[in-house]
Amino acid sequence: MEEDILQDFLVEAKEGISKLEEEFVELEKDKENLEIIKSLFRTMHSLKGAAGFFGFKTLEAIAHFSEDILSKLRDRLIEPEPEIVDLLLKAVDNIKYVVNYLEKNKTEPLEDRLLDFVVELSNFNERLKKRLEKKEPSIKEEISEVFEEAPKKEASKEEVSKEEVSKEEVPKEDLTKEVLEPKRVEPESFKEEVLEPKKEKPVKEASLTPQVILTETHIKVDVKLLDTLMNLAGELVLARNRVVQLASRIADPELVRSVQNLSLVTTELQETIMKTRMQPIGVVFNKFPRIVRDLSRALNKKVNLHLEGTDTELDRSLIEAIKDPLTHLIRNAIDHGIEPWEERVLLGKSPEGNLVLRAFHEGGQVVIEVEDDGKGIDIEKIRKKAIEKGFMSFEEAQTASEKELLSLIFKPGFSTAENVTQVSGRGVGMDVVKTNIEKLGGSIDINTILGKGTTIRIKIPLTLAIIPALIVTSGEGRYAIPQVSLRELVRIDPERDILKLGDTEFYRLRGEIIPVLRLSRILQGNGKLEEKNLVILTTGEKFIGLLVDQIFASEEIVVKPLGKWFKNIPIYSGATIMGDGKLALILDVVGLSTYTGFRLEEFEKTYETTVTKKTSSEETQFIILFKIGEEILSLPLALVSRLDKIKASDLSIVGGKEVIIYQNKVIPIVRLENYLPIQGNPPLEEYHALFFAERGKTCAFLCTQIVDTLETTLDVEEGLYNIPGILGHRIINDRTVLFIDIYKIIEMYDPEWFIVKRKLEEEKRVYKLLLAEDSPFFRNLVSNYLRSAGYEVETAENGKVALEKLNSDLEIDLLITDIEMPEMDGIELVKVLRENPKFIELPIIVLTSLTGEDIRRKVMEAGANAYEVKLSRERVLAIIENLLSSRGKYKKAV
Amino acid sequence: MEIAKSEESFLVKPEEKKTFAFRETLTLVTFYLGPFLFGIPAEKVVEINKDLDITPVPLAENYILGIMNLRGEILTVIDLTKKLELKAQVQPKLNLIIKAEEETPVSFVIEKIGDILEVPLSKLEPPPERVEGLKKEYIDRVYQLPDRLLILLKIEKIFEN
Repeated sequence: MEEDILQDFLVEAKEGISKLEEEFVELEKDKENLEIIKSLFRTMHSLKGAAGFFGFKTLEAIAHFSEDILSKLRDRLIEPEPEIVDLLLKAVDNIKYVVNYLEKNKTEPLEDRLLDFVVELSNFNERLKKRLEKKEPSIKEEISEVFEEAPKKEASKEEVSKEEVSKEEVPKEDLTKEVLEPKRVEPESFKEEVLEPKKEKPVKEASLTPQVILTETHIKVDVKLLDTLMNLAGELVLARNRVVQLASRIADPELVRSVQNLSLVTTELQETIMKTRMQPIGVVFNKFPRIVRDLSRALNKKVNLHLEGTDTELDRSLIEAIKDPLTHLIRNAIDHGIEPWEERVLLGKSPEGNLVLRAFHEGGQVVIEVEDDGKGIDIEKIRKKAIEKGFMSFEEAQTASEKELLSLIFKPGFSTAENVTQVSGRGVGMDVVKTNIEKLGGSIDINTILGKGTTIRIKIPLTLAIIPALIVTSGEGRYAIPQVSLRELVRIDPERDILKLGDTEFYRLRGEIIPVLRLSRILQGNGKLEEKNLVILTTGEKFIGLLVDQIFASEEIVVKPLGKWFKNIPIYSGATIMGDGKLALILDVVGLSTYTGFRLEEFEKTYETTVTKKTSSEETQFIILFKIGEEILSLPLALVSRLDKIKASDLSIVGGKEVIIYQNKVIPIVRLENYLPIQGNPPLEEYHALFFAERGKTCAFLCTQIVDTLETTLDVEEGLYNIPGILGHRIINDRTVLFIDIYKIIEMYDPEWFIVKRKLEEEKRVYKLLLAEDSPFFRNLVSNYLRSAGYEVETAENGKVALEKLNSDLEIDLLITDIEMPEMDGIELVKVLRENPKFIELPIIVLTSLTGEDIRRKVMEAGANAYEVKLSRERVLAIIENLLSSRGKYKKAV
Repeated sequence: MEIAKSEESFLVKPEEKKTFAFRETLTLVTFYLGPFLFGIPAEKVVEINKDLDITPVPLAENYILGIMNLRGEILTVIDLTKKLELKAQVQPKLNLIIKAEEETPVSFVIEKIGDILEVPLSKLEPPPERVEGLKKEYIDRVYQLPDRLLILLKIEKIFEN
């Protein structure tokens, strides 16, 4: 670190020196210019200060006396006569020499010559002072006297005894003689020319002061200049691209070769210019050892800081911007994360806590991790605090997921520190950290294991100006979507896969319902091609699907601002120039979601008004309520592939079956009243149809009216309607709603519907599956479809019951379990089973209504064989078949 | 005067106001939009070019034709006929690129460029009560040419959002 400061000092000193040199020359041309003198004085002054700080005595002394002389010039006590300027320039030369020496040797040169010069300067200064004190009328004369004397005393030993010459002034005559030869004549001529501006410059070459040319290894450059350079490089790339195109058309081998060369150089130039703005993250990281040391001392903790990836480079402006957030995170880690060493020893941890600060590149982004092996974050404590501070209601807090709770840490006014310490815990900060990171287009994540430690992961783009983006099209236009907002790409058939509810469209992504926007519609244009590509985007809060015409590759784009004319259009965040010189607008995902906000709000309103309150995302599902006659029925929206209106006149009876020709397909109509004890639709001109599709087969249910959709838990009451096809009932908005078992009904309609694919059935014995699921709705639904697929199904309401059943002699072939269950949850069940040698090979599928990598990881870590979303029947069945058959093989092999 | 005949852009040298013995003059770049002849002070004009590769920006105001790339800068392209609500059918053929305060320059698409005129300040007149087919609020001053009226545009007014 010392080294760094010394480097800084040297760079500054060199700048100072060249400034001094320039200005002295200026000064000779324009003697009346007080501004130059003032500037010279300031430069010399700061040089003195810096030298003093480092304890460079010689340098300080030279600067000090020069500054003194300059102050007299500044105060107009003396005039900038060439002789004075000369001496000062000599001082600058000596400063230069010392600085150069310092750069090479890190220490000042110990040379008599320099000491002598300091003495010379000092004496000169003294004499000036004395003369000034005498207040002689003519300052100029006085100066000339000074000069008269100065060379004399330096020149010969005989004159040493002269009154004004003190003993220290004894010169090294052999060295100085040569220099002083020409000077000795000067006083005479000087006197004569005193009123004339002296044109003839003293012969500099004669000076013995070494003329050193300082080698510049670093210079300061205005960042604006670099921006301009980068802009120009971008333009050059575009020009190059055009030339490349033209050259390929002409196909002259000479031309092609030189264009290739041009191309290479251009790319290299662009990369180099980009690099000029890049700095290693070590610039920031290296400040932390000190902070960590001080902090751990203050808190009486022992902390080892490990820095990793300090040479990871990112844009200068980002380096600046991440400093504060990182400092905050490190403080937090030491203050709240790492335990006092006594406590660590008791816990069996090493007395020194470990704090890792790590940086690396990942997918065009920079990841920075702050990892500690301290006590981790207590989720329960957050839960308590969330209720106390009113961030969540009691119910919400009870059902909130770990992720939801952890995200509270980033909310303003939420702090879990029990005691407010000097360092942290005032409930400010983490929200600011998050805001700052997000401002940079980054994201922040917490991962914590109670008792083991916490890792905070920050992802930021490499530069602010250049971001990776996905290029999509809508009609003629190309649009760029920043990669950070991108989750995944799905190719869909909008006719089949998009659910429609009024004006709002949805897509089922692995059982999750995601609102879909059509880019062509938002842009009020008409997509030329059929929009078949669904881009799943995240605003950080919610997912949205964006239907676009075409998807191109991901590209690094240079973000350019749009003019003020477009400020009121929230869906653009800028524009970029594409490889062919044409422009593409950059889409703002948050803007997109707000732009379509009114629809979402409308949608949200529908479930706010319902009695069942939305609890947590854990077990809620979108359900659709519909009427047949006066009865209200319901089923999960995710099971419906499409909603549409059909005309009664389009219905026909073919071969004894009621069908409709819908989009060139014959689709059988299922009338629920034939299977359920309900009244049925009154004769209508137009019916609503719920389409159900699986494995390329589609059928439609007729209903009178679509009532609503809402997000709710699937808690249904059983028993009242113990009829096949009905899973249970529930009161919603004071009406009894029947939840139907769509699989059962379809099976009743056509017993062959689901059977096609089960070929194992005949050859093998009937497998026995155990289904652990607390929700009666899902328990019935899933066990029904398992049974109709030919399995024998045992059920359990929670993990504990499941364990008991497994331990009895039921000979279960495969376990399917939910995660969230009372008594014993799914993950725990899996863990317990895997610890028991008897169940080590039991195939386990975890079913959940949750999606996400975190959960998948947890499930797999616990030891499950597979993980699936509850409502994807087809996939669940495929997995069961797969697991059972591979198990069979395994058994045979053994 | 013929400008922008070639593909390359043509730089208009900003001519300063010239002071004659007893009168000050203003150098104007003039251009045609339908039947109208407009003038813009030459010092506000960056260049005139023929590159009409304009990228439309959906959802923008109707008078905004889109954006274009001028050597790495993104310019807003404005259709003056729509902004000024001109009652004229105009075929945009050229970009007249104008400096905008604290912003990247703005391009006006125009049909035809006219002469560069130097007019005495004293001969500039306030806009007449009524100009057929043109909104008065965008007119700064007018100058009577022998055969027609030259309309000086209020650039600031056009740049107002």
